[in-house]
Amino acid sequence: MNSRQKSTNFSMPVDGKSLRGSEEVGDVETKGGLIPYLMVILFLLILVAGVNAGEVSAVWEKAITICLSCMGVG
Amino acid sequence: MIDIRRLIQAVSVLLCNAWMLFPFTKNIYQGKLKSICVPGLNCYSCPAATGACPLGSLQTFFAGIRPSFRAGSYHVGLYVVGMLGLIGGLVGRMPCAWVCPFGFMQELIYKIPSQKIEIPRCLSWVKYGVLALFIIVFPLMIVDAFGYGENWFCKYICPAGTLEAGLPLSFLQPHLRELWGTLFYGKLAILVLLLVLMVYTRRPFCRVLCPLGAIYSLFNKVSVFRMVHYPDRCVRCGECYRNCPMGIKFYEGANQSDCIRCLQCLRKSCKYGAIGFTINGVATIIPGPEEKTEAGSG
Ligand code: SF4
Ligand code: SF4
Ligand code: SF4
Repeated sequence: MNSRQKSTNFSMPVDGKSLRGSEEVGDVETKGGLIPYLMVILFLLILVAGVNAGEVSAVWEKAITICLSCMGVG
Repeated sequence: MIDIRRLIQAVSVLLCNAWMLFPFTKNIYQGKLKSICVPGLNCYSCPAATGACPLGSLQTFFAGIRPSFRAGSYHVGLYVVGMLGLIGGLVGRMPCAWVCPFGFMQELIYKIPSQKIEIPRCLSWVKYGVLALFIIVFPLMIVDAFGYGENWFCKYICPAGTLEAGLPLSFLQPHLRELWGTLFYGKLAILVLLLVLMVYTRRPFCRVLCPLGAIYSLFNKVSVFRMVHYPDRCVRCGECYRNCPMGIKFYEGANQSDCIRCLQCLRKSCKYGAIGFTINGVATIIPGPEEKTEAGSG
């Protein structure tokens, strides 16, 4: 087995046997817990803050103007 | 049989580039949809583009941060950072495999029959340097007398901008051709080099240069959706690696930063049921080798 593998993340019953699963990112309890959801909520709040700050129209103004930098001519 | 991923990729290309009146208007689309950033790399100055490019928008916020503070509007790019973080937090780098038009194009070009070569893995780190310098540091720090920075990635590197905006707009609006100079030819050379590389190696731009892929990849190990490897079932046959559009040896680690969650290895490569996914720790019940073989032969 590859020395980088941490295959003790979790096990689940399949075909009457216990099957080990590996995500190879340390402790599955951390990852299986609240952190991913909290992260999603945090970025959702950041997104809402940006919308409230009027950044949507700032994106629109930039996106409807021909971007000479993108074209490579300015 | 129709490959569902190919279908979704094709639909995404059409949705991101649905403005078909450009041959008549000879200009880019200027409707309200342009205020929404698309999740993949698609230049907002492409005449057919219906949405905004997240990388271009992010650089614009960073480059204009000083004037924005002076004006009291405090636009720092929260909208784009929030959107990218939200997508990354949910599915990691999955948009690269399913909805990014530039990624789709690379996969199609790689189908051209040729001797195939592999990119050294260490080059994957380059994209983080591109992200740090060309998207964040240079636009923020190198400013003119009025405090305005530049979109460094767009201006000096982005092949999508050259292909989707530079070339078509120059033909729609011939006066723009008078502006072709060293900068344009330099960017054209980058595009041509990458197009050639795309024939010989899998997704070279995604693996080496793309800052958007670099951003999403930061979430691969902590997103709600994650891949799982079942080492007890894996025979290390290498089939996952041979068919992976990013050249990943899945058996060396699920959720590697370059994994774009195309699920090719899960759906088509692994006959041993050694690959699955979890929704934040809730693992899928995956078929064992016997069921896989039966399903595969049907
Ligand atoms: S790495 Fe960049 S170009 Fe490649 S698929 Fe992802 S967003 Fe698109
Ligand atoms: S295809 Fe399946 S069995 Fe073969 S090396 Fe990859 S994960 Fe292991
Ligand atoms: S490891 Fe599997 S899911 Fe990830 S990019 Fe390769 S084939 Fe797709």
